[in-house]
Formats: sequence, C-alpha cells, structure tokens
Amino acid sequence: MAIANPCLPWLALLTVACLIWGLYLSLFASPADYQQSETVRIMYVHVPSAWMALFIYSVMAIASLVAVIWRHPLAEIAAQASAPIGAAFTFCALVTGSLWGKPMWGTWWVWDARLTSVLILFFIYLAHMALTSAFDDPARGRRAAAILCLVGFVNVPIIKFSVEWWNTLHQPASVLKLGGPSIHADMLWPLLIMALAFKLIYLCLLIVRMRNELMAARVRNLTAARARG
Amino acid sequence: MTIFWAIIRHELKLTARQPGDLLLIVSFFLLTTSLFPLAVGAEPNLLARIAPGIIWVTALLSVLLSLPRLWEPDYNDGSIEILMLSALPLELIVLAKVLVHWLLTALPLALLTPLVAVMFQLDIQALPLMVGSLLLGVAALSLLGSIGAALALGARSGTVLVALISLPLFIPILIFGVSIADMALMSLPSEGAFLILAALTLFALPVGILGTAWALRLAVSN
Amino acid sequence: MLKVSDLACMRGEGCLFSGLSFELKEGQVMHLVGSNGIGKSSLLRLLAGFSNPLSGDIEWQGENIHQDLTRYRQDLVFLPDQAPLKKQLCPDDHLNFWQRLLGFKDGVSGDVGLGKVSDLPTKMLSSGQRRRSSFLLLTGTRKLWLLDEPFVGLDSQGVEMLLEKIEQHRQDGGIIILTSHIALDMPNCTVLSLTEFTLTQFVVS
Repeated sequence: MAIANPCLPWLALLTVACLIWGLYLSLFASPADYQQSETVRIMYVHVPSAWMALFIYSVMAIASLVAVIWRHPLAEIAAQASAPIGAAFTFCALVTGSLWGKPMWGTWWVWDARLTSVLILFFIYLAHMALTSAFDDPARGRRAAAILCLVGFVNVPIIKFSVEWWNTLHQPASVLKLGGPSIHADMLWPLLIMALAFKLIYLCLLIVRMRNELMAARVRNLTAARARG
Repeated sequence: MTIFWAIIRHELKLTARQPGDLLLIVSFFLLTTSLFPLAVGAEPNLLARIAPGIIWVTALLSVLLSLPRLWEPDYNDGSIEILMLSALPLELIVLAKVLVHWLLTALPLALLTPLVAVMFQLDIQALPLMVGSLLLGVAALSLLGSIGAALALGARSGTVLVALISLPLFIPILIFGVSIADMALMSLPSEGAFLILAALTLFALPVGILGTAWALRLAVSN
Repeated sequence: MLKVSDLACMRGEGCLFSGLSFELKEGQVMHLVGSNGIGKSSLLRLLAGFSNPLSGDIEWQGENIHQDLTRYRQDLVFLPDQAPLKKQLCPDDHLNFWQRLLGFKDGVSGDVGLGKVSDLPTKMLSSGQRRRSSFLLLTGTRKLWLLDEPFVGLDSQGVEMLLEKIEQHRQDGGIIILTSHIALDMPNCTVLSLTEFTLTQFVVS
C-alpha cells in the first residue's frame, strides 16, 4: 500500500486519459457496422465489462487463495474490495447486453447460455458480498468469503458448461451469432483501448477501496480498544 | 472407523428422538409441489411436462430448508469443538454428518416422488429415472450445501445467506437432474445426462468435504 | 509438558494480548484471571488449536501443536463455556457417545453426581445439572484439560466435586488450565493474569 498511495493520482490521470481516448475512438472514430449500424457502439462498453466481470473474479480467486494459504490480511482486503467493483461491471455487462439485445434480437432478455451464465456470475458476486458483510467481525467475513470465492471459482466452469448444455437442449441455435468470424482492426483498437481503460478504472477503485477498508479497520480497532478499557 | 459409525449412530439417534424435523421437510415438499397446479392450472398435459422440473425445484428447496440444521446446532452448543477433539480427521467427520443428512433428506424425498408423480400424471416410465436422479442429485446438493451452511455459521440472517451461497452452486445439479427425466419423457436416451450427474456428484464430494472442513475450522477459530 | 512462548493473540482485527510465555509440567494447574473481554477464552481456544496465534509458539511434549493437530487433540479435553449438550439426549447418551468419539476406555466411571436424572433428556435438566453432565467429558485419560468457566452454575457440592476431580487429575499427572472468577485454593496452582499482557495495537496491514 505504501507504493500504491503516491501512484494513485497519476494512475487516475492515466485512467481518465485512456477512457477519453477510448470513448472518442469508439463513439466517433470507429465505423458503424454494416448490419447493426450505430448500435454496434454498445459493444465498446459491453465487451470490456464482460471481460472485467471474469477478470475481477479471477483476481479475487487468486487473492483468496493467497489469503487462505498465507493468511495475508491484505489479500483478504483486496478480494473484499474487488467484489463490488466486479459486481458493478457484471451488472453493466448485463444491462448493456440487454440494451443491445433489444434492437438486435427484438427482446430485452433471452435465456441464452452466455447471458444466463453471466447472470449466475452476478449472483455469485452478490453472495460473496452478502457473506463478507454478514459477520460482526469483519475479518471473519473476509475469510469466509475467501473460501466461498475459491469454491465458486472451481464451480464457475461447471456452471458455464451445464448452462450451455441446457441451452442446446432447450433452444437449439435460436440466437443470432454476433460479430461474425473476425473483427476489423478499426473496431478492435477502440475495443482494446476501452478494455485497458476499464482495467485502469478497476485498479484505481481497488486502491481507493482498499485504503478505505484499512482506515475503517483502524477505526474499528481503536473503538474496540476503548471498549476493552 | 468406529468413530465414524459412532457419529452416524449419534446423528440418527438425534433425529429419532426428534422426528418432527423430518416431518417438516416432507410436508414442505408435498405442500409446495401441490401449489403448482393451483398456480399454472391443472391441465394434465402441461403438468406431466413440467412435473420433473417442479419436483426437482421443490426437492432443491427442501434441501435448502434443511441445511441450516446441518451445522448450526452443533456450532451453537459447542458440539463441533468436541467432535474436533476426536482422532477422526475433520474431513471424515464432515463426511459422516453429510451422509446422514443425505439419508434423511434424499430418502423421504425419493419415497414421496412416486406420489407426487401420480398427482402430476407423470409418465410412469420416467419414474425410476426420476427417483434415481433425485437420490444421486440430492447427495451432491447435501455436499455443496454443507459448504454454505458451514460458511454462514455465526453470521447474521444465516438462513437467507445459506440460500444465497448455495443456490448458484446448485444450478448444474438442477439442470442435469431435470434433463434426465425430461429426456426419458421425450424418449431420448438419458444415460449421458445421468453419467454427467454422477460425475458432478463425484466432483462435489471432495469440494464439499474440503470446503466444509475449511469453513468449520474458520467457524471455530474465534 | 505444555510450553507457550511469546504468544500473541488476535481477535477480529485487533490484538488481545502479546508476549505471553509460560510452561506447565505434569501435575500443575493454571488459573487464568482477568476482567471480561481480556482474552481468557481466546487463550483457551488458542491452546486447543482452534485458532492460530498471531505470533509465538505453543508446544506440547516438545512439538508445535499445529504440526499434527489431530494427534495433539487426542491428549486434550476442551470444555466450552456452555455445556455442549443436545437437548433431546440424556447424560447417559452423551457419555456413551463421547466414550466412542474420544476413545475413552470402557468401564471408567462416569459419576458426576447426577444420580437418578442421568436418563432424563437434557431439556428437562437444570443449568447446574447440565454443567455436571458436561463433566462426563472429563472421564477419560486425556492429559490436558482446558476448562472454560467450569464453575458457573454449580451448587456448592458441585464445586466441591469438580475441585476433587481436578485435584485427582492433577495427582494422576494431568495438566489443567481453567478460567474462573472464584479464587481457587489448591496445591501447585499458578495464577496467570492476562492484564499484564494486553496491548492495543493495529494488526491488519
């Protein structure tokens, strides 16, 4: 944390720059899709959000593993601080997906395999957050959540597999495949810049949230010391 | 091994002295399944088609309802610490307790399923598969749910929390459990789905036991 | 022999006490004192290996207890501050189960002065009788006893009986650590006050 704190302003600056550049590229500079016209621009928010949903959960799983094995308190706090950010990105992916689905598929929601598994991922994030905050002793909540995160992590591929299996059983290929076989470089670049910007947003928020949590822990500790007299 | 059986006998004795708990789950299962015809209409074809799904979802909810009783009493009265003083590794203690939990939820549910199936005009040829998949699937539900029950020990609003934690983990079991009977109804071969359900249960065995043991060690650590 | 060196204990995110060292040999009793919330129960749970120390070592017969916790626990009886009983079972059931679970030898008398009520379900017993039922855990030959507030709820005969049990175990070469708010008058008993080891320090980060 000692290294992270002085970096934060620069990091924030970089994030804003990256975000503005990415938004300019994706909203103005990139071409509209010949099929989907302007609605394709939703992709530049939707796809990086979905990537972040998985990326942050993986980061949390690694942090939880470190927390469980080496009992490192910072790793626990990192996982705790990541969960709401991850949930927000997952929610963002779901909402933008829904907004994109309306013009493309003619409906706000389809029980398509990908949407359903992202929805379940969102539920796992919610369960993680609920468990973290369900204990009077925050350290206990963080440790319980670390175990849940790891159990969830080994289950995510299975859930994904089963949802896909279920989907092929119930809705054989009713959903339009998106994007086509390849994506043009004019669209790929804005996408990558946006993905980078989202990663930076995550990093900034993570540092701020971890700092907050450490300070809150310090306050709790002082209060507890007063209770002991 | 004697300790393992001693725990199983002890658990069975606990339930035998308080059989009301068992009745609770059974009644819940029957009552909830009978809500569906009242809600979606009593059209026989519709009921027969959705029967596997209804039985599975209700069985899943019954398991969920019974989960808080798996670890919470032992945690609250300090028995868990006494169990941990035995020479048996905690993982095997977990296995013994989950085994009894499975026995006392899966068996009543499996016994009641033919009754519910008749009420829903379910095709009789799908019935053995339905019962078999329940017996197998509830084992996985007990194992995975045990993690959630152990993680929620000492938490505020534990019951809701157990549901929130366990339900996402239950989804694969539900999907394959239902599709076994569904495929039998459509006269499709259901061995594949059955094998996958068996694989999921086998996978849930180490995950459930290790996860629960971890969670219990955490629960007693303060 | 139980050896504790430079032990620090954490509860939640804070440090309860630190720098605690002591050594107990066979035939010794330790009485933990200190005001509420100072960490007596937490120390007992640390000694039973339920929680991990923030720093420091606990050694039993020359080996760190976390090396092989299952083996260490077989030398140990931990009596929680509330009697670990099931409402629907009677004291005899409990004795029966604990004998198998903890590998107590058969034929050890489980007389804790319950007399005629030993076949009544726990839900019909008074709190003193429940406390006595929990002493059935002390019937085996495990060496180290960790007793959390064992005197609470007992009548004077009960206190007398427990003191006798402790003295007997001590003479048999056992080690007993207990917390209690009443003063104990027994030979070879060390009183340890945790007040001197408390420390308010921020641990997380």
